[in-house]
Amino acid sequence: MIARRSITSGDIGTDEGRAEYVERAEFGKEILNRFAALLRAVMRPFAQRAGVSLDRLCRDARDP
Amino acid sequence: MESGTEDVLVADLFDPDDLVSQWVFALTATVEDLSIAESLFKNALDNDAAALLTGYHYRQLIARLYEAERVVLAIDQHQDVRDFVSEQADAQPAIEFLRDAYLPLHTSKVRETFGYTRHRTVHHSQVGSCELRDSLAQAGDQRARILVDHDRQTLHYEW
Repeated sequence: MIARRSITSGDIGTDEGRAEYVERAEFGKEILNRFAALLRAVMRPFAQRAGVSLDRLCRDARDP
Repeated sequence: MESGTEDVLVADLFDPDDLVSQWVFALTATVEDLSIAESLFKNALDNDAAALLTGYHYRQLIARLYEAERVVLAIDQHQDVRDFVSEQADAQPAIEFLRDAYLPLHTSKVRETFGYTRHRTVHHSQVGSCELRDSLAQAGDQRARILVDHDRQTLHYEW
């Protein structure tokens, strides 16, 4: 790792900077998890509301 | 879940004039963008990528986290959306967490934590601004160097 600071990139090259990045990224990851949970909770009722079944929407990602 | 065979069109699922459709579409775009941005950042961090690269992915993630406030705000702004989500019991814990993170808008935890970085991601400092002058002044004791990769014939300006 490059042990330096950067005007544009912040302090990712220092231990303190890396810890700060990780802490903030963990907050961001938790936000992402909650958005994903919200989407999972509303997707089926939303599709039903539109008259579309989830089965019709879903495809095998390896062979869409 | 079994795969379906009959294609569904965007118009079948999202009514352009329906606020709930618009909100669910915005939510899916938010989750997709955040997932990709977080994955790229984590990959760079875990592999000890150059600070320039890790910092770039970090800023992209932060910008998407910040912009996601619109999805949360829409629940308060639009009665149709609020009515729809209030009927979904499974959604309430996530909504409660997200409201705590994103509201009130101008003093939110997300803006407090990521606002400056988001600003520096979306906007380069203007030449002649105090912001740019202060950034240069504050970083005056830091090394300035150009990373030269002869094999790839690239230069990276690391400051």
